[in-house]
Amino acid sequence: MPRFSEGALDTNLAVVEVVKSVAELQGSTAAQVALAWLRYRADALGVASVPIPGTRRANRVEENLGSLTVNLTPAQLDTLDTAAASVSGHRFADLSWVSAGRE
Amino acid sequence: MTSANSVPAVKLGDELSVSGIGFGAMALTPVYGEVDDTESLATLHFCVDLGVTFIDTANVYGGGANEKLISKLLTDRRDEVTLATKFGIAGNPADRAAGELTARGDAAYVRACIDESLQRLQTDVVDLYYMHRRDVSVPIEETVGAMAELVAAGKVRHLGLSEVTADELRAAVAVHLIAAVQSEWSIWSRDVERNVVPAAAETRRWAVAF
Repeated sequence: MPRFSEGALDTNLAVVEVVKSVAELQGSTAAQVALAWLRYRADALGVASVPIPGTRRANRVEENLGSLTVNLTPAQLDTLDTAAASVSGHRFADLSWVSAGRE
Repeated sequence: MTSANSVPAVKLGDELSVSGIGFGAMALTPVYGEVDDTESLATLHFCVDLGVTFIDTANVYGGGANEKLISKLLTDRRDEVTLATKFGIAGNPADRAAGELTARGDAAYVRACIDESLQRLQTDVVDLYYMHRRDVSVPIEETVGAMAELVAAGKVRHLGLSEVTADELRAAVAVHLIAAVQSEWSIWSRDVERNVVPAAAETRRWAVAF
């Protein structure tokens, strides 16, 4: 995936660090913060959302459920949104495969 | 659908209620490598025990093995599960790097796929049936029209679309009620916020993110 190509990778790993830093403040995990961010973002855009994370490990299921009780402050959401805006690279090499390639 | 758990429900459309977090089963049957069915089945049971009852699979996952695995969960827990599966990616997932996967959405293909999925899942009905990828060689009205016939036939209860554009969603909604739109959406993938999510909000469809 282009997002993981050289150059894009450094930027996107920096986003991971931002997510981790918010998670530390929250006493939660990075995965929980990422799922909580989606919940807030969907609310803001007027759609309900249901994440469907997959894992082979049972304890990850519990971790994902924990995201439902993670409440993000406006400042934390700003921090995450700013970091998210810096993500570079598309998610598929062949963009016709996903919606973004046909818009 | 009710269960004794603490996971809040989210309503998709007017009739379909699902657990607020679902389970993407794709990882349970990787394209390569050995599959530990015992461990995977235990994980699925654990999900349902916790109230994560919205289980998401596809005919293409594991080349059919994923649906067969889930059939083992459904054997004695069908009523507890909200079952979602998909059609529309034809080819062998192992050949994906070689570009062997193609989207397919002609009516005959849709009709054949649901019967194969029901057979693998060993159930009479799918709660939410998704078009996995858009086949641009077929009008979306044909694909969704064929899906609507499956609702009428009682083989599926609700329809969903995966990785569609805003325009494709609007065209589909004109044919039949669409309960859910599924797409990759995360801090790292926000392109759907430009067009797809606003269209989902405007047509009162709901987003399922993976």
